[in-house]
Amino acid sequence: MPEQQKVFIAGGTTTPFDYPLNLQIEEMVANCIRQLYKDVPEFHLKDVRDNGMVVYSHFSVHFSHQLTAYWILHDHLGLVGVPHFRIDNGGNTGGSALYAAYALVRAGLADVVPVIGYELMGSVSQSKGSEFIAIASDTRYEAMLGANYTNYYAGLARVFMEEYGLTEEDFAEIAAKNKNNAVATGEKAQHYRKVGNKLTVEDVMNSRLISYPLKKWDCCFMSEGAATVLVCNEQFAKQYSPDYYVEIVGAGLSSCTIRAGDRYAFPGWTERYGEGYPGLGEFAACRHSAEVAFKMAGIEWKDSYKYLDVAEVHDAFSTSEFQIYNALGWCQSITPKQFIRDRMPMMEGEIPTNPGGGLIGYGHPVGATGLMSTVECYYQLAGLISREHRSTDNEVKDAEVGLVNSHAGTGTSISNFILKRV
Amino acid sequence: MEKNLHPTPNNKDFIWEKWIKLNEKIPEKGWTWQNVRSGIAGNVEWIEQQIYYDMLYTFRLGALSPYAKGLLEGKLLGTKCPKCGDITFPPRVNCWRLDCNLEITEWIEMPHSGILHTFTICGFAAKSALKKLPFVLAYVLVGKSKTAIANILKIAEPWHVESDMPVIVKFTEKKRVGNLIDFWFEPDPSWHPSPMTPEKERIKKLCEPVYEWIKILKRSI
Repeated sequence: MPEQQKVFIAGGTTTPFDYPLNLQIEEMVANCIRQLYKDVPEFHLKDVRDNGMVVYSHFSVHFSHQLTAYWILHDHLGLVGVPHFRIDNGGNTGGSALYAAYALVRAGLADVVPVIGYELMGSVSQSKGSEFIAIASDTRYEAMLGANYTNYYAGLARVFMEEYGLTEEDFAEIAAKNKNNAVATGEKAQHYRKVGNKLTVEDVMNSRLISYPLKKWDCCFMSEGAATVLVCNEQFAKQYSPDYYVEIVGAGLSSCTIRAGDRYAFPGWTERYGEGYPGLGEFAACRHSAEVAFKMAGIEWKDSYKYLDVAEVHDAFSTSEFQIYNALGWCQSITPKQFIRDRMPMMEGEIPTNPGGGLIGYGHPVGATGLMSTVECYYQLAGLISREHRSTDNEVKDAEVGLVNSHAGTGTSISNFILKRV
Repeated sequence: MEKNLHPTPNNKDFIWEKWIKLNEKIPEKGWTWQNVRSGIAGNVEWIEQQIYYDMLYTFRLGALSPYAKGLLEGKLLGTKCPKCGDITFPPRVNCWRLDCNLEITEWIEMPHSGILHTFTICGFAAKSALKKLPFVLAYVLVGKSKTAIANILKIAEPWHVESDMPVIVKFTEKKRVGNLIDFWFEPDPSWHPSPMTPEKERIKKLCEPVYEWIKILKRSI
């Protein structure tokens, strides 16, 4: 029987994120792997052939005009004969694929598991694209209204705002933070490629209404791109990147209702967390998966930021990043309002969040997104920011413990990982 | 038929000819070539091909059919678990409590009123809804439902919407289709907006360009 083993990340790469990217999926992914060859010279796909398998991370076949598109990739990479499967879990596709690779290595079923994520989204018009994403909501109900995820999220944000007395400016701070962090990230980040300069809170406040309280700059871009995370056991991690490997010391995955309205009094959550939780304003699946990951890593949920040096979270919207802070237990000893006004998640704050730019700054090609967050967190912990970014303005010096968060639906599936520098 | 299972209709009474004829009214053409375009970006040559691909979906409502039929008749049908008594709207045809072992729920008629739990004022939406902008998307607890349902709230001045306001249900007088687009919410006639606040002024200002944009959009269609 295979034996349990510790799980590590020994490398990671992304393509630039942009819209459209004018690439086919096989060249996007080939670029990622060739970059990995350059960054991690000891790694070779032959190790995957002999000791591993590949987990593909891809959200929507509607966008790829191709079912089982990863069959094309696997073949293209020369990996015929090697086990492969694809994970789709909405916006949490990347996190869930990482979870699958983690589970495979942890269980001892594989020693080297590259997680390869990608998404084409420019294959259809932007409005059709939003509609494609919206059909991850219940098509018999919500999707038929002509609303899309931005509208649902805005409704959830509204409850959160009222509950904690937050203002549009509080969210705009987060949006501006992530856009501006991406300027330091540079060429790979979509905000840098498309806009290039820093934004102010006023810019965010003055941008056009998308769905109150969300304005244009509060939302992530529609993007295309690919990302790869090299997951492996200790032996390969030491062989590949003796100076640059990190351990996955905690992993959690949880779920919530598909329709946000159904979590007003969901029995499973009220049994666990008491009446009124999560309601529509909290992400119970984020809290639950974080609690699981924190427990593995020996971290307390309450004020967990004290144990963390850096976090890359799923900021599809500035408002949802804030709701994630709360679900991660960061606003327990101080109120959410104080948390943002003390500038805790800023580069200079207690817990720099999304230094890489997050979805708002870097981009959101769904299947690649959670992996991009993982790669950015890995760079921070492995001390690779000066090699990978345009400037070190968004480097968290001497970071040892980091959190990666990946998030789907209206909070329908959420994963959290704790990475630790070895 | 086992009492605790949903019945499976027997297809011997299904009129395939009629169904095929109905489908033929909306022809599906499959892959239809439209365009080839090419160019150079920097020093990279690119080419792209546009292909139209269509499909006609049939949504089969199955056990949810009474709900859809209710909408056609101007009724809101929710469900109630005979074991735990939980009421949900939108309906759940099996109880959501693990302790109830997927008990088949009973259909109950919901009142045409509820309480608005949360909302957003949409300044942008999917293509099918653009002309309705700016509209209010509301999550409403209808009657004694333990779940909120999302639908449009029609109100002349959207900045006046507030949490916990009472709303009523209005059904369309046009042809109904058995989907929640057959109805919408409106403020309860007994409700009156509170005076303008700085937040309301702010939302009103954010809506102004949306009204202008929609005027142009409507002219161009």
